Amino acid sequence: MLFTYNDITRDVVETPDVCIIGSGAGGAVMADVLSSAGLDVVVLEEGGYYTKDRYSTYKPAVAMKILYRDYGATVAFGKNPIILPLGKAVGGTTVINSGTCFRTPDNILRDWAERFGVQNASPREMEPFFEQVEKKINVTPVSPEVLGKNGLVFKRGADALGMSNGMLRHNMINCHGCGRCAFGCPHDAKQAVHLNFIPSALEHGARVYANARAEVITLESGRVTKIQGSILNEKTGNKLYNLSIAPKVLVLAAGAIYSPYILQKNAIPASPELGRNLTIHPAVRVTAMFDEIIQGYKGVPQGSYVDAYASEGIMLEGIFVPPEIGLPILAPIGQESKEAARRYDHLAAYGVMVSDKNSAGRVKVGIDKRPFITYHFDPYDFKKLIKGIALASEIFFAAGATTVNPGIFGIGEFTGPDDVAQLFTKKIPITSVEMMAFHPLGTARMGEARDHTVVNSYGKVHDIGNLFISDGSIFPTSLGVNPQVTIMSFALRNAQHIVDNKGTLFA
Amino acid sequence: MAVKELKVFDQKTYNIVRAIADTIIPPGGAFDVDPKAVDPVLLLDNYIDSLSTLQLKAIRAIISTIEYAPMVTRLRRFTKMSPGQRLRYLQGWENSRIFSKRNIFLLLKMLIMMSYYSDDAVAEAIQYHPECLIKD
Ligand SMILES: Cc1cc2nc3c(=O)[nH]c(=O)nc-3n(C[C@H](O)[C@H](O)[C@H](O)COP(=O)(O)OP(=O)(O)OC[C@H]3O[C@@H](n4cnc5c(N)ncnc54)[C@H](O)[C@@H]3O)c2cc1C
Ligand code: SF4
Repeated sequence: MLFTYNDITRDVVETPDVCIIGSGAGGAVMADVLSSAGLDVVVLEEGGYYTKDRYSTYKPAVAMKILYRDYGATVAFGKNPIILPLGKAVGGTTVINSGTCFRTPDNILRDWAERFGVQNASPREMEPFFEQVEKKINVTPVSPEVLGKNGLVFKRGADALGMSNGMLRHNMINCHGCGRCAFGCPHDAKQAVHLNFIPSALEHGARVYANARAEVITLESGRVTKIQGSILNEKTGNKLYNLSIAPKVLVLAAGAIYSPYILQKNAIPASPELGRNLTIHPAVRVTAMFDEIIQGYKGVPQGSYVDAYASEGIMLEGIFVPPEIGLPILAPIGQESKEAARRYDHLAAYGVMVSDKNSAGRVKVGIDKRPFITYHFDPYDFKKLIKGIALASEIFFAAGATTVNPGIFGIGEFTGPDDVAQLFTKKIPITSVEMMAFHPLGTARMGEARDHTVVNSYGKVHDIGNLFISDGSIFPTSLGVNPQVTIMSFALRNAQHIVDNKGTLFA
Repeated sequence: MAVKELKVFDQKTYNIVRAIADTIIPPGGAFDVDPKAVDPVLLLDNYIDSLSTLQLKAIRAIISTIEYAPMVTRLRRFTKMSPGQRLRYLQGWENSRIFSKRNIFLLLKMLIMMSYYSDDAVAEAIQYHPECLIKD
């Protein structure tokens, strides 16, 4: 059964086998596997339950208010604040993500085994989990007919320069190419987890509470005994009822920001590494003007990639947003803003994302008792970002762009490929680049090397018998690729491990 | 103009934000919509109603700073300036070498422009017609 605040008329008290906090990529998979193994599962999700009937009516700005946390403007502070949007809904961030699917790169899995002692997660051992996840969420390459011109022109440029590129794989069925993936797919073509793993968990008897925020975790003799929280009015955010769950096992799947935050707020004695080592894949957007009409808002916004420099930790992936989201960032003020709006159909955009090699951040409980996120962007990684901006600019010119905007304060628009060299000759402070990031990971690293990790190879918090973490927190390093398939596949593997150890865990 | 449907701003704050909005997106130019039909400040006011008290305080502080800061250098409030002076003053924020000043202004500009360009009449004026590449 799925309950929203509308269905609940009194305090909620439950004593399930498993309580899962969070229903996103990590939580939904856990809920499905554990409930199908016959365990009694309760899922708590702070966000509401939204279906296409609801989000297809939302304009992008409204979707950002409703489906995202903090209106999509969660910030990681540092020399340069980085916007780090997070989803908040049944289905978590998968409801508003771009749908791109990558398996964990082999070299990353090997590195985790070598440096962090992660066991039984070699490329060969992970293969069946990737396969099962990809089947369930229907991972398939984006078809050229829905790519749209934004992706096509960039491909044209990359081909002209002989740079390796291709169509991304997405979790989708019958995509219409309407360009709204980040605001809730109005056709339910994007297979976010509220369309597969959650319904399947419900079929197996799981109870999912939407608008249910977990707040207090009680630990007694090294075991979690109780979770308390609130049922919230979706419209006002006000508390309606109390929530009290006493499970045999708690799985925390609130994402890489909120999982460490909840544990810290409750002074749960996990490793001192908890909340540290945050990686985010810092990203920027490069835009270009073309004489031809692009209408980048038609087509899959993130349909293609250029991976020519992936080995250096630089990935270029499509990105496009409708004018009400794009113009506020791109257009100058005054009459020029209106001219920019009229030219929006000629605009193309592409994203540059880098892996965090030396950079890292931290999540702590802030003075306002909310999560306080900091991120130190290392100069080495910043150089990669600048190189990525240069590559995207060159590709746009090779595709026939008339001007390219590198998105760097103090460096104007490029009017030809020769201008790109400025990126390497001028001093560019970190504060002059507007950055975003979409992939928070790593705040509760897994592995058997206890000094450096928070959870073991299967997501169990060291020294707490019945507490698991199953979300983006557990990955020891940056992936270099979009993380949802990695999160789901590890959730599947770790859920299977819980089922295999049912006898001891649920005795 | 007295606006009755305000949820967050008082009338005085509304007037300041309206002056800022009219400078960021002035009437006339490349396209026009009836300013009586589209009120980005009212849309903005309704949009930010679920921000936390702390966040709303921060937004009010930004608005007050924009209004009163020019008293120091130009001896008059923002709303008392001519349209040309207002534009130059806000461009000073937008292009400031001080990164935090630039960013604070960006936040307000984003909220105003997002509200404005979300309006159907404006979408029509800029001929923004979102459609699927594959029809049902
Ligand atoms: C705009 C955008 C585009 C993206 N595009 C892609 C992409 O194309 N491909 C890709 O692989 N990844 C993408 N990502 C990232 C990907 O979606 C996330 O990494 C992934 O969903 C994270 O999974 P998770 O389980 O860690 O957390 P989430 O999916 O974020 O789920 C956590 C859930 O926990 C809930 N929660 C938090 N605290 C509490 C509490 N106290 N009580 C109850 N519930 C709580 C939250 O509301 C949330 O629903 C994108 C992200 C964004 C923001
Ligand atoms: S492009 Fe449109 S139809 Fe396709 S997945 Fe994205 S939102 Fe859904």
